[in-house]
Amino acid sequence: MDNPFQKPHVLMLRYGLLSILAFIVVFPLVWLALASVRPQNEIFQPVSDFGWNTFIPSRFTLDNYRTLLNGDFPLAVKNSTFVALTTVLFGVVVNALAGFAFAVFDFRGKNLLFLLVIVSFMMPFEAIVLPLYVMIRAFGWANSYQALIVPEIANGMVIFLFRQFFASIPRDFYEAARVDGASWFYIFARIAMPLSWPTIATSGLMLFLAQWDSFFWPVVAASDSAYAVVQVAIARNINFEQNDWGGLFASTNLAILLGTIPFLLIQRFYVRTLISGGIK
Amino acid sequence: MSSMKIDTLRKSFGELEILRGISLDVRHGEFVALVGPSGCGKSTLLRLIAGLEAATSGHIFIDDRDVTRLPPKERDIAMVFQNYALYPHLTVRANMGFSLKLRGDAKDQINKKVEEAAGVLGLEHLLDRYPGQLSGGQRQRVATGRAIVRDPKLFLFDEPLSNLDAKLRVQMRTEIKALHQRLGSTMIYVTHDQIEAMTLADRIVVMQGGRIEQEGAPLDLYDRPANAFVGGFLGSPAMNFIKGTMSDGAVKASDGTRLPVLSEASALDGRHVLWGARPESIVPDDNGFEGTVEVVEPTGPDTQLLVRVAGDPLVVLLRKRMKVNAGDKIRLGVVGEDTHLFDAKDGMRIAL
Amino acid sequence: MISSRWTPFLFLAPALAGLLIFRLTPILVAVGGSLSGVSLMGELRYVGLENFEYLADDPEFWESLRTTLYFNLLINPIQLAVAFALALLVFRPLPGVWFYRTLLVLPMAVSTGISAVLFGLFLDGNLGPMNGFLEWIGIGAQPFHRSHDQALYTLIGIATWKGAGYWMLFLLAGLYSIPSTVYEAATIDGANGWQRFRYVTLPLMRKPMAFVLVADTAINFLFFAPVYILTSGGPSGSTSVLMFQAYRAAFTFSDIGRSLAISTVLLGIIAIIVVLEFRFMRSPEEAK
Repeated sequence: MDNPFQKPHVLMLRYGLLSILAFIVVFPLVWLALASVRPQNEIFQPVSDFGWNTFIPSRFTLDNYRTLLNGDFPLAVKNSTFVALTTVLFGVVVNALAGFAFAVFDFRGKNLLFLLVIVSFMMPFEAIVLPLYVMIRAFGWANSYQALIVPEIANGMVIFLFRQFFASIPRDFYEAARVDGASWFYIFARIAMPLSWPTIATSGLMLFLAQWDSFFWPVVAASDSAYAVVQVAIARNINFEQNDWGGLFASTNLAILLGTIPFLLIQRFYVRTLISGGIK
Repeated sequence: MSSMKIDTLRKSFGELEILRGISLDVRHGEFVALVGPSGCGKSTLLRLIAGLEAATSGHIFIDDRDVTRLPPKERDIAMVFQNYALYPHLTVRANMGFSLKLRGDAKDQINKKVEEAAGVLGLEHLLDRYPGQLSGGQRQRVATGRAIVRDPKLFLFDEPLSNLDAKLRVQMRTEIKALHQRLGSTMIYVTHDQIEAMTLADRIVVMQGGRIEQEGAPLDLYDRPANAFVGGFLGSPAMNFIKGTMSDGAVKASDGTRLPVLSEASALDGRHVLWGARPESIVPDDNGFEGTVEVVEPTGPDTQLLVRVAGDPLVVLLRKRMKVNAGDKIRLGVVGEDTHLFDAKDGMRIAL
Repeated sequence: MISSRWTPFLFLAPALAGLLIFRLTPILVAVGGSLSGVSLMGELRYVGLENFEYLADDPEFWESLRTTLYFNLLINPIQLAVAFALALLVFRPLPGVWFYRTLLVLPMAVSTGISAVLFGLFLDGNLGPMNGFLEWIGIGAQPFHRSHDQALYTLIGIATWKGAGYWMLFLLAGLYSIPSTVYEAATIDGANGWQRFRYVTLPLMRKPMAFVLVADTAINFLFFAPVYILTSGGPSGSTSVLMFQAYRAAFTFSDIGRSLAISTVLLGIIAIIVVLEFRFMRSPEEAK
């Protein structure tokens, strides 16, 4: 759609619009980062004092972050990390096994079961949070790590990704190993999995992010402060915390930063898959 | 029908210069083929003529009108793309009538023109289908029909047959030639296939590295290539080349083998040259130069030989059956006027 | 090639068990639970459609349904339009466009809950710069999510901030899938910029846009986090969407039957939307 006879002011209009929109999008994040390094006494920004002071702190300080260490936040980070990493560990294995089965074997009901897999990730998780909670409570798992981890291990999207990858390995690979006498599990563990490290990395990051960002389920299933994850802990504070605004700013900013790292690592994948596989 | 003139056209993409000063005159009703290897700039030239790219410098005239800075809409040209570029969501009828609809023509007018064009191309029964339901050849015809309907001053073809299989390509080639004879419009046709160029064009323009190497009637270029590149580009199997030095009116190859030159050439003694001869002009000759047969390929009506002469491979195309084996020694000569001499350094033809 | 008939199922077992237990069974629990109640004695009994009857008689439920529908009626087209506009701006090659694209996509890295907290602070009268800015340019401070009139729209704004970049990527994929030669053919046929947009871009983007609309709607019907964090359904119930109602029924009123009944209603709506999604994704490409 490139017009070689394009007038230059159209181009400038584009840059202008993009700059404004990008600014609007990014500004709250930048503001938060700056606000989190303000001294406590500058936290309040009354409406009448709008000016440069609103944005640039008089001095930069990490005090707000230091006070976090004394509160509940480290526990929340520990919880989130533990839950997320455990989910990644089990999730990658369990879903890869299933993806392998769909890619390599032929069995009755394969199409139906695969349909179940696809439907499972087309239906948003939130839809079943409440009935799932009823079930979890019946198991006696309310307010526990299991409640947070186990339901998130099986993941249709990850199964799908592994299936795509394993299906792309030429059949000869598998057949040669079979002829040599390898068991299917051996082929899976020693041949297929090592080859699939990009898929492992992407899926791992996806599962990590899903757990790290998860809010509704933890709020419902494990709201006890001993098991509160970062998302829950921070959300709590905005309602109840009346004196540690600095800590709130700092913890929110940290949560964003910690979540951004895995995101940046896989955002190329997201962009590339969405752009190439897109609506398929 | 139009005349088109290009004057010292240059095109660069940033640092990269694609067209290095192209000048060309096209007469009314001519079929001009732009040929050359990948990267020679032929497609870029076509796109500049179409107005899909803007020239860096130089001028383009259509019917004596300077269109260099005008968008495609105002040049009155139509183009057939390599991948057809049909509108996937429109029927064949709507595809062909799209430009007329944009122009604001009346509906029955549009239908009339579309049906006419469809008649010429044999598309009447496909008018209500979608491109996705058509075969490659049918899509190609629809793309051509879309161009015909516009009745433009200039038809531009960008390698339209490249995506078709060999057999279909031959068939469509004939159809395009018939179309040109029927419409009599000016057509500019880009291809990398020299056979297409030879069979379709009134005039061929051979390009390389952003420059025109030679242009003229196909047989003129075939018989008198202006340089070694053109000589080797047109013709299949390609012209043979052997390096040597002029001595006593013949070419002396590296091992002393004397290759004939069928004209007075003693004035050139000592000069380093490239000797060229087409495979179909080389015949067995008891008084000729010697070589060793390496490969024999009988094709049925012809026999193709690979003969090693002075260390270089020579392809010989005999229009008959011949009993010969690999390893045999053979003496060859050249029939007709068909030896060519090119300067060894710059490849330019040495006139005799 | 398989040694044992059971090998595939052994491989599948843990994942399938996970999906069946934690994705499929809850649907059954929702439906079954909505048909039960807890008696005064604490025992579970079948009550038929009683919970649904209570819902039908409850003005709060209808109000919530109305709010949810209104919310969706606004947010889905808005997000689609914004995402489409962004995709168009970012689509054509331009030096440095990758930079803008990365910035626009950045909110994807922020979770829904955190984005609610972020804006809770940003829009706060004392803590955030927004009201100061509005005062400064003369519009005056706004209560945003604290006001009955503005709360829902504020939530729409927050959700759009977070989602625009994400959906933009899907639409970009659609834009990239249109061959550039089709645009060139249109140019040669005489179409100007608007005409190319209207006759080529829009028709060929119908499928991606439909997909985004449907997928986004499914997610927005389950909108919860910002309501829980910022408004608790208020002020005066102006943001009490269905999912929040279901949550409150379970956790504030311990009325599991009611909670699951609302969940079932939501599941029904989502099921219809997912079926639509399938139709759009699988529809035979007759014109490509």
